[in-house]
Amino acid sequence: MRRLAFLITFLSLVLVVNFAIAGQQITLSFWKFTAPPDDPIIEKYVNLWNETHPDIQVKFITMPWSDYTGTALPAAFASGEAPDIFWLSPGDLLRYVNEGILLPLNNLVTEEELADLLPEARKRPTVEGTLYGLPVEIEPVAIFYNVNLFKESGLDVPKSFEALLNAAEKLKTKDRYSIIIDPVPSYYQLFIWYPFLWGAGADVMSPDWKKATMDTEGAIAALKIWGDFIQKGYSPSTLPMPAGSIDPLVTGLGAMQLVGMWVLSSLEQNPPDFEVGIFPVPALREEMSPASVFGGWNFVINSKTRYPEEATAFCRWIIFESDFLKEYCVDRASKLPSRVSVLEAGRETFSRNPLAIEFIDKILPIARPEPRYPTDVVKILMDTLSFVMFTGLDPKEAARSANAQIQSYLDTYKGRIGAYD
Amino acid sequence: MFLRPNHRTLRILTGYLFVIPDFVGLLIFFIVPAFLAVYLGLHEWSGVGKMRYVGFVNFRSIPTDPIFVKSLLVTLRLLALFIPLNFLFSLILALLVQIPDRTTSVFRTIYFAPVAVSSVSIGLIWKFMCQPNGILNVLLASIGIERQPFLGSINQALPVLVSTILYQSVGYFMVIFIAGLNDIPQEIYEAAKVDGANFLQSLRFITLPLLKPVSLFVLVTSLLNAFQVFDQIQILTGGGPAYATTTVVFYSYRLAFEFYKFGYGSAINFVAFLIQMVMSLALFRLMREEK
Repeated sequence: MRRLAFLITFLSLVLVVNFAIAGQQITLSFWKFTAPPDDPIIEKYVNLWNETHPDIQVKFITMPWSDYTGTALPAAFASGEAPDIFWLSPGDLLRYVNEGILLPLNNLVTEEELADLLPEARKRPTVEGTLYGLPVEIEPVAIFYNVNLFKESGLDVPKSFEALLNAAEKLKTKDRYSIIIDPVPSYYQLFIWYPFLWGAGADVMSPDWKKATMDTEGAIAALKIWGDFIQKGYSPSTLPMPAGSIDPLVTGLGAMQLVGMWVLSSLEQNPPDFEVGIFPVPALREEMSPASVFGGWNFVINSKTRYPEEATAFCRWIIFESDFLKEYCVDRASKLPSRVSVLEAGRETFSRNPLAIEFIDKILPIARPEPRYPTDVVKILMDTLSFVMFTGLDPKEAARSANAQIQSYLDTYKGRIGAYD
Repeated sequence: MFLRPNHRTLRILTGYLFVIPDFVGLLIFFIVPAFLAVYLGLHEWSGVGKMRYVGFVNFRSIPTDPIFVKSLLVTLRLLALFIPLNFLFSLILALLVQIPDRTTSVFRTIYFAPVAVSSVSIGLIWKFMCQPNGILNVLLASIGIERQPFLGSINQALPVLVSTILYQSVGYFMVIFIAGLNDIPQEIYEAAKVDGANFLQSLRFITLPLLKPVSLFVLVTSLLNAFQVFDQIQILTGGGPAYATTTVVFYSYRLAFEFYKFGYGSAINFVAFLIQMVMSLALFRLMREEK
């Protein structure tokens, strides 16, 4: 009887202690889209955090891209089951900021940490002076090209729209396109089109978002050159593989391809049987400055999280304290880290790939963060570009119409200004 | 006297009990979402954050939206191409393989096979076939015809899309027609033969009139299927080029899940639902009047 009483008391104590421990443990949910080559690295660092922080556990959940960007987050926010931490693209940041969904981080990150972020990377999650996320990587866009074909055709790297079109004319054959762009209207298509717009000295709207600026010579030229790519048969009007992979260039479908730095690891793993080079998207005229755009993801924190400090602690740890950025960006030499110190320390590693060094020295200085226009503006731009490319709509008329539509939208826009400082 | 009403009530109750599972499914998956679409259509919602009530603004914007008008025209063109071709091909195939023997069984299986394959796989296969260096262009090149853009052309993309949907649906409707053909008594054909009727006369005066209920089913189902086609558009063209393959349903999807205009997307979806209902009822009425 005494033994039984002892056993019951002991088991009760164990249960009480267990409940007490469980009560102290916090579990943060961290959502991201599925990306097979990247996720194991993230998972490794989540596990490392979990091992060293038994009281704050992070549950890493990935889901297919279309679910993540389509239904998963809206459904989660609508049902009150949204993640504590998630990855957000710069283009989508403003929608969340306007709804008050993101936790401001200014007071939760130190001055030293902020100073270590590349200035352009820091701008990306900052809206009107408030920091809403921590940038992970920077992936600028350039034109990759088949160096052998350029040499055979006696072509130099084009430095103006006209030179690019001339090169396209020379490189086009019955079985090969000159330049691969994304023919399908999408956020990605606009993302890789912006360097043409900026390189022509134009922009979509004024920095204060009061005035549409599409009805300009530069914007017309940027629309026209993409129209020419399709109308003159320099670019395929449909692609069998994703436009963001380097396969069209590697398989010989095109002689040039407009794509981002993320393809470097794929090029390293499966090198083609020709030399690959890169050059920036040329400016409208040679005397003008060329431009590039960069994307990349941000760690953001749900403002409704029950554990803002713990969530921030995890994000700060993974970006500023762990070796995550080194392993995720530098070791694979296909992404630029958002931190100056990691970029500088990794220069030697990057130097094993001459294209990566070219990205750092030539493309990064002219790269701007992906714009974060409201979706209404994005739709107007997508439609305009698409009609110029496929229906032969006069770029002048298209630019004028886009300008009027954007102006009409801006006149009633009441959200935050998403322009970068 | 006392037992009869009870027995009747019991029968009615049993009937309702059998219907309940179907009704619950209908309620959860069709009626409630339809009302939710109207509710959402009365709001502005970016997918995250709070919904804002805007009254009928979304519904009022629909007729003046040029892309909606374009998507409606694309939908009508798709229906005008798909419904008659689907009817014709599935009926011809059904007539060809109607009599069961070893050879027709093989052909029935071949024709039906695409129905069993997922629309995503079929979409991908057709997408590869229609590429600039795809098999179709290789075949065209072999007979001296120049490379066609197919999915990248505003004129060719919709016919290619319709061909893909036909490829997958004809086998299914063929089976429905075979069932309908087998229900027609052979004696009528024999009597017609005795009277000297040839194949075409039998088809016109016996087969087609007696297939009317099956034809109605085929027409209504193919109308609804074509109206709601999504996977093939997403895989083959993404609605492009320049909205040449964007149907009303696909446009509402893009508005909601690409541009995060859930309210306006829902309003368009509800309008699409109404259009489908009106078209289906019109078809029913037309067939009834002919009867």
